[in-house]
Amino acid sequence: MTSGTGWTFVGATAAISLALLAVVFLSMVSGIRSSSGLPRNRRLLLFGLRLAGLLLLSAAILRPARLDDITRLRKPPLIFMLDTSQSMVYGGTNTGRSLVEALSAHKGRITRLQEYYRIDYVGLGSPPPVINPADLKEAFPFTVEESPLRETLEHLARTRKDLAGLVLMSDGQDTLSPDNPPQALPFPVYSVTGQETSVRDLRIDEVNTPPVAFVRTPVTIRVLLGSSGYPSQSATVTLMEEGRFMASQSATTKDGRAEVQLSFTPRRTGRWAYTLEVSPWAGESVLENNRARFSLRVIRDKTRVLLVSGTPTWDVKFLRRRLKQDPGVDLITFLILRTPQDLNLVPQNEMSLIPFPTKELFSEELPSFDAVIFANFNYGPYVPVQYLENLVKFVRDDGGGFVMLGGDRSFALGGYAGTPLEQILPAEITGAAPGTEYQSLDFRPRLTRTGESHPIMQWKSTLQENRSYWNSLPRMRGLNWLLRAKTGGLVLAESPEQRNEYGPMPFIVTGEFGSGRSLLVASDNLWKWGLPNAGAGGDSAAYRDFWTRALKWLVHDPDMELVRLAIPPEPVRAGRPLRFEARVLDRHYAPASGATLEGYASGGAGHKKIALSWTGTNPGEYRTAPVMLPSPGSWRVEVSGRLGDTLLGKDGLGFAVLPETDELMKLGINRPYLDRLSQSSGGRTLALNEMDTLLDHLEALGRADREVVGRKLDEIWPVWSLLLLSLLVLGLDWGLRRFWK
Amino acid sequence: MTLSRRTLLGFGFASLAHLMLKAPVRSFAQNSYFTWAQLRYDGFWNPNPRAVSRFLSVLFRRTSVEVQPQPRPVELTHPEIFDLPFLYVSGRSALPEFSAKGRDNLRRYIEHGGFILFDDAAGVEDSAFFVSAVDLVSAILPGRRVAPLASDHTLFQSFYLLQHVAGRKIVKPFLYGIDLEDLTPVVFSQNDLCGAWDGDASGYTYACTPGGETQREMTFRLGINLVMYALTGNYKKDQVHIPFILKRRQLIR
Repeated sequence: MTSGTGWTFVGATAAISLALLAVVFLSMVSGIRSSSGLPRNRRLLLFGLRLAGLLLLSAAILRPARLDDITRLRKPPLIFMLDTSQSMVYGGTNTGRSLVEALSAHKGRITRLQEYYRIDYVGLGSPPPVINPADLKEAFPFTVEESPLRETLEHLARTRKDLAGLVLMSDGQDTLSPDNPPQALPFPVYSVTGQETSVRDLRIDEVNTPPVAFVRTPVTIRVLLGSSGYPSQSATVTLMEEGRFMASQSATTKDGRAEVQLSFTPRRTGRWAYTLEVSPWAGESVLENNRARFSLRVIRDKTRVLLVSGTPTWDVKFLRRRLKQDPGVDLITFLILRTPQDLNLVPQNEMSLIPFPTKELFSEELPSFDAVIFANFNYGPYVPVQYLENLVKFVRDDGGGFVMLGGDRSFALGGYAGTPLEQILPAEITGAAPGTEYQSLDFRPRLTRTGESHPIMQWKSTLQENRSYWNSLPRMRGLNWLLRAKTGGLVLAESPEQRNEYGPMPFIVTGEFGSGRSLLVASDNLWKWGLPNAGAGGDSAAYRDFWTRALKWLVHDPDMELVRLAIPPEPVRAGRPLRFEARVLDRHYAPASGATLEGYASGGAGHKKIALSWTGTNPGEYRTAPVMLPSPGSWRVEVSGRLGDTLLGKDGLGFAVLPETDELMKLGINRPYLDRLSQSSGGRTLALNEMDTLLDHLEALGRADREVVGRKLDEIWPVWSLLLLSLLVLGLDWGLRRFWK
Repeated sequence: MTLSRRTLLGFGFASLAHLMLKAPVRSFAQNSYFTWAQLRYDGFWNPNPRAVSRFLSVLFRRTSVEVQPQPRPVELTHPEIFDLPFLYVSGRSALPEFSAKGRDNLRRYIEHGGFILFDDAAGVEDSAFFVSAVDLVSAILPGRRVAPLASDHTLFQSFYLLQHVAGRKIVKPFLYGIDLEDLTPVVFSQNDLCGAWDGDASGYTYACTPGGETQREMTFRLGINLVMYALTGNYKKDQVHIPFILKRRQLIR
């Protein structure tokens, strides 16, 4: 098939054209001159004959011709893409069946399109699986468990650059990139929406969480609910943290949507897994989308410390100064500036003293702190004994840190023996002879073997440096009686000069109680590591480092942990292999080789517990064999690391395990998605009853889509006839000129 | 603000009774007690020798601060000075030229948390003692300005709510100080604080002018506030105290 595209001169070259132009010009000038003197009508006739003769001669030389393209139909590929996922037919949805029926009904017309296109039928995937058109009948299986719409279209954009168009037959529920259609595809997408069936469903459409949450600070989770097939009614959303109830909130749907905001206060740092569940309504088509899971990293913005002292002392002054200088510490201090025994003759309004807020501190606000320090504080006159129980709970259950500093109002002299608080002290405080509960003695504390490797005491990079630095510190003065460490308590430093029946008197002791930690310093002169050490030619670094590291250790700062789990790459899906990784350091914070790791993952349906098998990969790096978590939900992985007989540490983190696929999370046709996809690609969205319109359009496009395969040249007049004619005209011109002269 | 004779008598009797009720010190923990260190230097370093022990007795009876009953003389070059974070410097004439080590000690002392109270016992404005003390501190802390303390400085609310400074005389109605970070580790008084406290069982050595016994009481209160400030820093500027203090200050006005 041809189509005219223009004209050309077969004999025209630049030289010939110029020469011809010159001949014509000179001949015309010569003709005009030679005809001068003749009457006007004869001059005009001779001029016309000369011009006509020359033009005919020029045409004979230049050979004008018509140029035609030779074209044929291009027959580019055209794809019919059918979403074969479960959501197309699940829960009474008729989208998939109606589309298959439409394809079947228009089979003849589609076949005719093959005159203009190479037609392929595919499903979703990278690469997309081919569908046999013969299979497109009533029993066509919609069994695929995911709908990677965007991924499939982008794959085609990369690999099928000659694609004339794509007819998409899908519900628009992309499971990998929900509500995020690809932009600027190089081919038009014609979305054909299937028959829409009203699905009775209540679901969690969207969960908005902050990127991180701060411990002891309320955090709000925004949940968007969607519903279809139901009138407006109330829905209740419940939030659980790894099996613990956190919050619940109700909202009434309007136009199939509702928003719920749930607030809760994380009590511990770390990574925690959460489950949201909206209570199902009667008759729902699918329940799996009534749940959503997420994990949240809870960090500490500042370490909130409560410092309580029974008397203003230098120990408290320097501790307060140190903590105030630390930008990572938020300090609340209460100092007893006047005791009930002190003289009181000045009216209260002339003094700056305020009542000791016992109830507020030890009942109401206690959970808002990360650590509590009792510095030479005798609780008796100020704190009812039942509030000490709250302090125990704060450490044991809420993971808080507790410090008791020595002095003549502390430990046994503070009356703590036999109180609930005694159970969170890592050393026994009883057994002192009267008058020896606090001794005004000089002593040089010594690091124990445990202390040399404990993270609190890692002030210098090497053991030797640390030991000699410790030995250069000023002597201490004043030591509280501590009998010995309790089981599990660790003596980090001791006074070799003061001994009891169990050996050197403990000076610094740590312990872990439930989820919290406690620290004892059996003196009120730790400040001597500051000003006196600086006066002796040193600096205040020892005092600074001790408190910085002690606080970090008390509040479980991840930097102080020797065993740390890595966060598994998200999303974690049930039934897919997963490896956990951990970093293990030895007591000197060097990568630990040869460590033994034990642990398990637990959670999901029935709170299943799976033992993990760890192996070392590189020094300090460990990972598990692939493990498959069988069910979605909140899961937690716990690990403990040992080097020889020494427990290095433990770590744990929560994470959300999602269902194997999000295929059934959203049902129904996502028309906005399909509209955006079609419009951005230059196609359009059509209803099922517009199939004929679509096929007409495609046929018209296909018919017009041709490619040029060659060219045809067609000379208008034969050269010889032009030449003869020009000779006749020029001969007549010559004859008449001679005759009229 | 004035104190009635009855109130003053009340102070006296109550102090006596309290002395009997509250033993001044307990023997087993003296090392951690507040020690009033006083700088001993070449010159008239202790113009009011009985003042400090009298003040310490009042401090002990009125507050929870456990005190060593006697001041501890200390020299600037002695290492012990760093064990004593409160240093009192008094005199009536110019301070001597201190050695380089002494000056270095003083700088380290201040920078690492020590507190110094310069008390001018001369009783005259811009005395040689005051000028030499300011010169000394300015030289070891270059770039730090000696400036009057504002009336809302923590020092004036660290225990008592004070609206005026006091002393044996009112040479200057304010204190001077040098700030370091958010604290004032060096304070200058020109009003002879110890002069107001000095005396024995028979009475006080000097009259307080122009305010008499009220002024003396206020001098004790100022002394207590100075010690409390040295021990607690900006504790009373913590947010939790502010509403109480503002309310009470309004009541006083």
